[in-house]
Amino acid sequence: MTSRATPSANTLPQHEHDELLRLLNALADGSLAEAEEQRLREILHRGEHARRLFREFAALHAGLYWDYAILLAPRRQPPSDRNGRGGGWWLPINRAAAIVAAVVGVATLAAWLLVAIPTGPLAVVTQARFLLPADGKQPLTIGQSLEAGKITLLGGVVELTLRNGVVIVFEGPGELDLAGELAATLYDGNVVIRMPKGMNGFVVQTPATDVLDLGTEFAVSVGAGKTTDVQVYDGAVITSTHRRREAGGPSQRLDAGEAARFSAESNAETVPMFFRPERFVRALPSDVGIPYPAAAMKRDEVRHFGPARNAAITVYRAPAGMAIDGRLGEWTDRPGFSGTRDGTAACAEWADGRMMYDEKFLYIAAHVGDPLPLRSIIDPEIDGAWGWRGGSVQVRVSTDRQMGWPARGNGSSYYMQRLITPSPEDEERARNPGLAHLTMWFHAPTQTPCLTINDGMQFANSITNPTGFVGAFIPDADGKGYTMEYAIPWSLLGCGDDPPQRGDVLAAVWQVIWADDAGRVRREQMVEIRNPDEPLQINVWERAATWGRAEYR
Amino acid sequence: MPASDDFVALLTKYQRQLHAYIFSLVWNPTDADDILQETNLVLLKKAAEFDATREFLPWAITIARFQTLAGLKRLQRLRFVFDEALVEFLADEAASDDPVLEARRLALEGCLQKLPAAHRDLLIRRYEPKAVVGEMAAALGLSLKALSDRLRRIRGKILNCIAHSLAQDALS
Repeated sequence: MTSRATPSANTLPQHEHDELLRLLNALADGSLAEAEEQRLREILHRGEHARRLFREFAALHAGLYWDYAILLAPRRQPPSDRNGRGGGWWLPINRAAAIVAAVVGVATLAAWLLVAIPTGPLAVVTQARFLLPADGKQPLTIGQSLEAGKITLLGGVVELTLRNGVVIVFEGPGELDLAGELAATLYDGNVVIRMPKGMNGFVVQTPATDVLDLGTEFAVSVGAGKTTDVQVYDGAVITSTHRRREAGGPSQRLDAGEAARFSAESNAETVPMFFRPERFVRALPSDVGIPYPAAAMKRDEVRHFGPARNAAITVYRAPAGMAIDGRLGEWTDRPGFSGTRDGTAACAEWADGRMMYDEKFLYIAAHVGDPLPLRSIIDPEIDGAWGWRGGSVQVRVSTDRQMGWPARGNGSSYYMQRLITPSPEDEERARNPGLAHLTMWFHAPTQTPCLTINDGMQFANSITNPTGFVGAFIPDADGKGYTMEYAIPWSLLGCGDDPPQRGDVLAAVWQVIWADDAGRVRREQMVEIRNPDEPLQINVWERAATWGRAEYR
Repeated sequence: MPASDDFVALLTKYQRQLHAYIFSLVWNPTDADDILQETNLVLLKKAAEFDATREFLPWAITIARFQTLAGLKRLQRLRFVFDEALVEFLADEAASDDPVLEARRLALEGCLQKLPAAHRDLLIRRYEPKAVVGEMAAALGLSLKALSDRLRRIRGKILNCIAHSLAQDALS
């Protein structure tokens, strides 16, 4: 008996198999013609085998979208448990995988669990500049090896080179938790991530968003209110806010030349921003790395906290007809304080600060010795909260006449660093709007005097260049300093109907900040008008009791 | 009544399969994501109707099928390759694909690792969110056909690699 072979439901001739694959590829890439659609339908009706091939192809195509991070993962190597520290090291990678999973819809963690194999220290400090480590922390030095963990800086910039070649430039103040070769969490501060050629997949997690690199150089900044700014210099990144991810929403792609701001607030939208290439420190010149010798800690206490040589400043009644022109003509015979940064007469960084008042305004003036004057590039439109960074004068004042002096109120960092839980009364005091932080700087690119005001010890209600204030700067003729003069309405400080009066003793403290030659990185500072009864090792911006006496005459 | 933890666990477990099924009908990643979300919402609303003694995936795929057809109509993307009978076939057969798809997914990871760097780079660009093949071809200085041919060959290699990998597993 003979039988004639006919295609069964479970077989597919090779030519139809090939044709089906061709049609499916065309369908996947959007080039399937109408006639080809008909042909595809015919083949799929032939039987289960054709439809299985169809489903396998569709699953591959869908899976490459769904599992996109697998494509990005570096080539896998055999896992090892070198140094017997696998558990603590792998967990962050696992977390990073979960983040990526959320960003691009990945459920497969296995590839990520195997992507980074310890073969030496996780990172090496390759450059450092103007570093101020946090309280109690050992300073970073060039050449120092680092493993996973948190890096906290009160100021300065450090460049880390990871063992896989990724370069991270971290600018303080801020806190960066380095989790592994492809993952870090930025709680505060700025980072620029630069990937080696051909590598991608680095994830930066922040309180507001996750940023997945697609082979690129990008910057992330976490600022006031835990907002996150992302700026892409090269390549592209995928971002996903926690809010959007929780809602199951799509991720967002940013390409080179694009920037956006993401909010940690649950109801806030992503805001596109102007691309400002100069905004972040992308690299540190190799000849300016400054090792941070442990022996300098005593001196660094001074750099951190002061010391102030004056405990009080007289706030004089202003004459009628004040002209805010930076020339300080009205300030003769109304002394304030004078001092140099390191206390030596030869120091090129010094300040002479003065204050006056009337019914409507607080007046602030200073003559500042600065070898690199008036260079700040900190953009008031987008970085007002960081206005101090590129060279500035900061004056913190209390207008709370009922509280008097000393002022009370501590910022959250004060409690966190000391492992203290604030009481409800502490928290209430920290919200006192009568405590104002004034940051004054000259934005060089636009030649604009700038002012940022924050209130309370949580730096709430940040406002930059509000209507009503007047400021002026004049560079010194020898190029080694500047004068500044400001008139700030009491109404902007929340006490327009009850301004300070003659005889009041309220709180005030000054910080003068000097920056690098690019006008971007805080280099040194000086603190003046400080309460001598308070320990030195407290930052004046985190505890109002450290502020000195402002005696209104 | 809110869905139970067990139900949510099942829904989570089968996200990939539901996505793959929806994708096989819409062939557009954004539409697939949107329809998957809508499907998830419907599944959660209907959680109380699910008979826990029965398999989850066939039930979920039935709902996904209706949601996909409704979604395509709403999105006016019904340049539809498949007729109703075919959609039904695909739904029934997809429901039984679960273990096969999982094995293929695991094999896919290994196969992607074996790809030459150039092929991998091409796939990375092709499967980036919002990637458009025409724009990609222009950026690479290729004709659309040349790029499509390259992608077809790479996908063919991956499919062969997966088949080979599964065959090896079956032998071992």
